[in-house]
Amino acid sequence: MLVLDSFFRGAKSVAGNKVLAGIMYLFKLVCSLALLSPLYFMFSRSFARNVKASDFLTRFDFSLIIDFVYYWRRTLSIYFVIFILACGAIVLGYIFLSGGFWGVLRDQAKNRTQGFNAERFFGYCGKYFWKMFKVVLFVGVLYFAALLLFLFLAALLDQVAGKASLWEITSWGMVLRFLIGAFLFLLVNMIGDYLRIFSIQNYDERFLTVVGKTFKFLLTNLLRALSLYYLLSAGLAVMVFVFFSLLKIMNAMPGAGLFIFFTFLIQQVFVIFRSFFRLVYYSSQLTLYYRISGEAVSGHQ
Amino acid sequence: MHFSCAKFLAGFLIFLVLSWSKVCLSEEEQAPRIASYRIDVRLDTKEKRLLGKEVLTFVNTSRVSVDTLFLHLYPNAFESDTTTLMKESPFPDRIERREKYRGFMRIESVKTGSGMDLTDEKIIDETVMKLPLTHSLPPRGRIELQIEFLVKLPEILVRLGYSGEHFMISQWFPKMAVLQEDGRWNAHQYHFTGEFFADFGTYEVSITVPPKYVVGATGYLVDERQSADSTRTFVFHAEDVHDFAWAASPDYRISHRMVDGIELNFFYKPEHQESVDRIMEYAEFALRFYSLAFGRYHYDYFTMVDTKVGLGGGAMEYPTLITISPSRIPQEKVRMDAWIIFHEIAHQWWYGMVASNEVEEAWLDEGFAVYSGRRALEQRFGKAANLVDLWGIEVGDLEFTKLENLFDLQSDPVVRNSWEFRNYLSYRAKVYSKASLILETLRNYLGEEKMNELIREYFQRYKFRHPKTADFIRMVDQVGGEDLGFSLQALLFGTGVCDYEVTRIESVPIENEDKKGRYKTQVVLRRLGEVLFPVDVLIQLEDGDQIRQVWDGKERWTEIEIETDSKIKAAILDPENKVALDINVNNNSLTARTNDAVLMKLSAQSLFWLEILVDWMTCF
Repeated sequence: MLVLDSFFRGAKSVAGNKVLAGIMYLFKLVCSLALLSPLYFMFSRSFARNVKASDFLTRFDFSLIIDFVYYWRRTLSIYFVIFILACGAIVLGYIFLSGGFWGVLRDQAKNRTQGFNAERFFGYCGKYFWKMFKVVLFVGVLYFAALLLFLFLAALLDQVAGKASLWEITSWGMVLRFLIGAFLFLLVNMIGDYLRIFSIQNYDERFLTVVGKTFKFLLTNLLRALSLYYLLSAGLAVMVFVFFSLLKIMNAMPGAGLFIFFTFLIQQVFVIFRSFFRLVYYSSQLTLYYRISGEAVSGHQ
Repeated sequence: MHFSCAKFLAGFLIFLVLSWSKVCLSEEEQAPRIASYRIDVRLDTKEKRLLGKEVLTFVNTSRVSVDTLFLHLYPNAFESDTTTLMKESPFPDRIERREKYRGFMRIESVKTGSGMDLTDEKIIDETVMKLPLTHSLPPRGRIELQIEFLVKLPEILVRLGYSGEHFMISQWFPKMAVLQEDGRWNAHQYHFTGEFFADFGTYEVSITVPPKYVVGATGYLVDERQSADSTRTFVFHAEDVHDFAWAASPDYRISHRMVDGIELNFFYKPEHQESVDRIMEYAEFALRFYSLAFGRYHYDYFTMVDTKVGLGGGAMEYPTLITISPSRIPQEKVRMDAWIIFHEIAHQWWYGMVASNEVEEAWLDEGFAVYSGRRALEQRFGKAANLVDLWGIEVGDLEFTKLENLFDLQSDPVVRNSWEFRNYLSYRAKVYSKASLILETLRNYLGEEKMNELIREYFQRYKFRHPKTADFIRMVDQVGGEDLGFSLQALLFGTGVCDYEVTRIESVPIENEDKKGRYKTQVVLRRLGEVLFPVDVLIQLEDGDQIRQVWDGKERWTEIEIETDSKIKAAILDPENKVALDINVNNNSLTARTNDAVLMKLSAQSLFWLEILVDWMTCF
């Protein structure tokens, strides 16, 4: 019940402050448009007055893409370098914004304030930037450790499944490998979220203390924390499945202007909803944390 | 009486006709027996060695007497990290230096059939052995050599060796080099790029292996016996082949099927059980398709061995045998198994029976095999998306080949000694891809029927022979003549690229009162590459009319100027995509108006995936 309650309260909290989801969507849109602009220039040069490019309206024509990539290879190699640098800047930009998201949602979970206040939001962005940056670095190390663990487990599985004489065992081995990989990935992601929660509790606390507290909390409440995280991830998976099914239907329809526009709209709705859901992840976990730790939670004073 | 006499005469005549036709058929069907072998070999699985005795019979088919023989000792390519093969290979030095990848061949003794000992006369240069004779061998003369040899097997890196209990044995016995008609020897070192070249003959090979081992090999099994020491001996016989390879493993299971009189066997590993039906079906299809398309498969047997092992092995062709590595990728989405099987089986025609020189003119087997494989893929899975049909991405073999050709466009020509290519990427791009695209273009220009006729004729004429590039060009000239409008010679021996462009289109109203309502329509075309083809130009008008013209492509540019009843809508160069070698199809057409829907769709899709990427980047 606590897990479900945290989930719904988290969702309600985010729904009550739609500007946050708007900021996240806007951030993604602006970054993507910046990355798209050189591509748009190349598309218009290669495909805008190309008879064969009409194929794109009905299917993905690989032959056109091959020649496009070859023709623009020099430009694309420069674009690739800029793209990598831009990705670095985007990650830094998001680390900056994430302080604001976590700070505002924390306040809402603790029932201090409601609604959006730009000054408060950007204040938290600046205040928590280094803390969020450290969390990202630490999570990077955790991912590396998880990868090593995964490779070790996969090698163990290979010993059993890879040499088995029944192919079914080998196939189950592959499924098991996928499940282990997914579990480890989500686990590290979840640890990252709780690290952020503890980072914004006491500003003066040293990072190692935050890490210690996070692991202590997770070890004592692992089942509840994992249940909530998997509930959220299952919700996201359903959403992704519904969206891509819808997209598949749309893509199978004739490529007239109106359908392209509708497809675009559905895609953008998905991105908005994904932004909303990311914040629900944050907010739900904050709620769970406060409920477990016994601190005030919005609506439960 | 009269009736019986007539019956007897008729019977006698039929007998004569049949006998005569049988003689003719066997003469036509049989390869020249130039280098034939009887080999007894024992596989020592503990020491990873082969202990062999070989009786080699060689016939001098050149015009001159020879006083030296040349033989290949291919296993010596693994003797150190400084051999030609290792120096040319892309494997990192740290791998090449490992002791487990070391292998070699020792010639214990060489005697002639008359008992003359030549052991001390031999001169070994890496993978080539020179054997001076005491008496020269005259034209049409025959010599027998008795050779005892030992091969230390490396862990498999390239084609020969072991991986655990699995053994892939190819290029493993002292093999005669090819003596050319003018008396010169064609005896190259074992190079990393390029493959092999040998003369036809018969093989009788007895392979002794430990008790639980199963052996798949070139030819057919004539005997299998168990010795007192419980080892098993498999005896194989093969005729009209120019090499012999085999694989042995205690794990092998065998799938068997008859295909139009051909015994098809697949020696597979248990973990690939799920692939067996599919692989057998592909092999059956390929044997039937190529037999119909090019000419009958000569042999009554065909074997596939599973070599999914270690670093090396992979897919490779040998006479009447191929090695394959079944893929784990879902084959209804990405048909790599079909591609590989169709390609390797095509080599039974282009290498196995038409035995061109794979070292000096590799395109004649690889280019032909890629082209043939594409024909088989098209026949089996359709023209579009016959290779990849995954997540809305559709890739046909033609697109895949064009992509591979772009990896290195201009470093090397198609026809070149394999070891002289800039690197393996360039070798692959030219010998496999560009060569097959040339054949594809030829097919488009000649037409399906004429091309089939050409390939069938080429196969029939050069079956069991060693054709060269010039032979093929001569045949194309005979079939296509001057009508082709392009030079095959330039395509094969040059490094130029092919790129045509519609540079500008325009329709302006004619001022003249008499021609009111008519337009002066101009289309400017350019040839950006060095290679020239005659190309069709299709001019589409707004009223739906179409005008077709041909540009010979000889000049660097041309301007077409015509009077039309309505404005131009678009101009398309090579509308049927005949020129498979064109490196940029995106500039092959130009429309008067921009296609906003296309731009909108591409931009919207790209934006969405970029948003997903940004989302993914920021979720950690």
